[in-house]
Amino acid sequence: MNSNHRSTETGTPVIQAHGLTKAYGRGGPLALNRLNLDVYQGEIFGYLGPNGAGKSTTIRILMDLIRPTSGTATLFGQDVREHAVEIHRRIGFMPGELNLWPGRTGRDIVVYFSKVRGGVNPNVIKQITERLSLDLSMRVREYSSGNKRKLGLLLATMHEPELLILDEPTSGLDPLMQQTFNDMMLEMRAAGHTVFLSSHVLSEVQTICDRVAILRGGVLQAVESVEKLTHADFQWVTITFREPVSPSHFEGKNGITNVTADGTTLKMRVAGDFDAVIRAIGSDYVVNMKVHEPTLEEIFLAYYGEKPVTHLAVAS
Amino acid sequence: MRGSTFIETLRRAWRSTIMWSAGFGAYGLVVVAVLPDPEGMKKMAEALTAVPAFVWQMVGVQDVSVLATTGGFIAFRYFLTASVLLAVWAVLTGMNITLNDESAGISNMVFSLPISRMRVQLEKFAAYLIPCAIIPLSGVVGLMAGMALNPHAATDLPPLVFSALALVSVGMLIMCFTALIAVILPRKAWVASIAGGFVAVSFLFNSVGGMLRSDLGTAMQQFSVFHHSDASRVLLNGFPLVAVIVMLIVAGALMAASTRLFMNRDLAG
Repeated sequence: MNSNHRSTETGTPVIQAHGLTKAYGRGGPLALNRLNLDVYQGEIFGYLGPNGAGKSTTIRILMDLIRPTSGTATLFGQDVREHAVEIHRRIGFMPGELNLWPGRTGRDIVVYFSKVRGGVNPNVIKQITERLSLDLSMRVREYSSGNKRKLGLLLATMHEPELLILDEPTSGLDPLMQQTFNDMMLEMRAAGHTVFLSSHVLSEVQTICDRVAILRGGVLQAVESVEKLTHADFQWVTITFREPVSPSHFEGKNGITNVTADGTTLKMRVAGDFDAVIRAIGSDYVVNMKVHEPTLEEIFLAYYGEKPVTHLAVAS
Repeated sequence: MRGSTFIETLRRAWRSTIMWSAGFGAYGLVVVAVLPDPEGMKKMAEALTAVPAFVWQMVGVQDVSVLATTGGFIAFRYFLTASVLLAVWAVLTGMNITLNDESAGISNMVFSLPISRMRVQLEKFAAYLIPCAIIPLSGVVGLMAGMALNPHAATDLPPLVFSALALVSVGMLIMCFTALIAVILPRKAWVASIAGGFVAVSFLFNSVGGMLRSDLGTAMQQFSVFHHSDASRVLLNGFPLVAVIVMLIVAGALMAASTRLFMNRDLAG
């Protein structure tokens, strides 16, 4: 478990959603169904789900880009609609698909955004630009998708916001820049700021997030700390024997499932106590035995049951 | 900061403003530069009388002999075309108020800034008023330049300026109408079709209304923005102050409606 995580499920709520529901069109399917969510100050909160789960809809409601069919959303205790301008002073935002004026240079856009925001420190812009290795003299149409993400990240962070709302922030970033991104988010948290990021890349959420919410079909499936999720009620056990052992010795025993054999090695999913494993080993000679905690991906799939999660991506 | 969107809008619009202004200016210059001498004008007017009167009435000319004057010739050759071209500019610009940024997905970033939808819209409207005035007035500059080149062309400046100013109110009204349609139906093809249809119908009302020469025709013309900015009427009757004020009020109402609707709807994206 990464030591970056910390428990933050207390304190001042920065984001609150109560019964948030959104239907596109009259009688259309619900993109979001009675979402209740609290995100606290100083945490990095991951918002997980496959494409179409309702992540971007939630974010667009929080940003007052769309209006909920019912329910309320508040940021810093203020209604996102009634106090949009005041709230937007305190937050940074990067949408899932960053589109800007193609004929303008990165610098033009940074200058415009700085002027609208007011009080942006030029040194901060310079620092972030250097850190992201971003060339602001290029026109937006000339930027690669990765460089566009960097520009979006600069625009979202240059005013040192108290809350960052990022929709799929690392898509298109190379591994080195992903590390820079992770470092920036951890620094934000260290400074007491809050980060809310949506993703379908589980490994990135596992690396930096304190808590995650899992969303499916517009319905919140679970909200849990990454620490707790990865200490879920099952683990993977890999046992290497001196001689091959039949999986049937283990399969079906109390809490043991998914037994697979590879030569002298057996891998199995164990829920609950290990007693059944020890008893099933019996007198067979054990060369090696390893216990792995499930990855967030496996937990995620467990929440989703047997239904295929076709858009789920796992970064290597 | 207040005015940032206003300035940014002007920054993004200056190139097209220069191009449109140059086009209007060049067209004005050419129209006056090719103006025949007085004898030629007289012959032309005689030749034009052979064309049935209703044809002239359709294009807003009630008295063909007016075409034998410099002012009448300019009103017919320049301002009639200029009013249609400015209507095209107004439709394109009205789509720029919200629709183009919204359909390109840029609005998501713009409205993440601490600025209200109302302010963005109002600052954009205000910014586009400048090219809306500059473009027709550039045409007047072109006309004046043409007069300097052509010794036979001479007319008073004020009627030309008044005609150009009357066009400004037409441009504003069409721009605001397009912006309203863009807020209600945020699809480019629909907006272009409806706003273009509005321009075409308005032009048709003026033409057919002029041809009918009846109460119905007069009534039809009252509903045409082109009738109220008709340069031949401006040359005869002076600046149409009441009509311009009414058009500006209607434009303001359309702008207010589009702002109100835009504040209360979901952004596409």
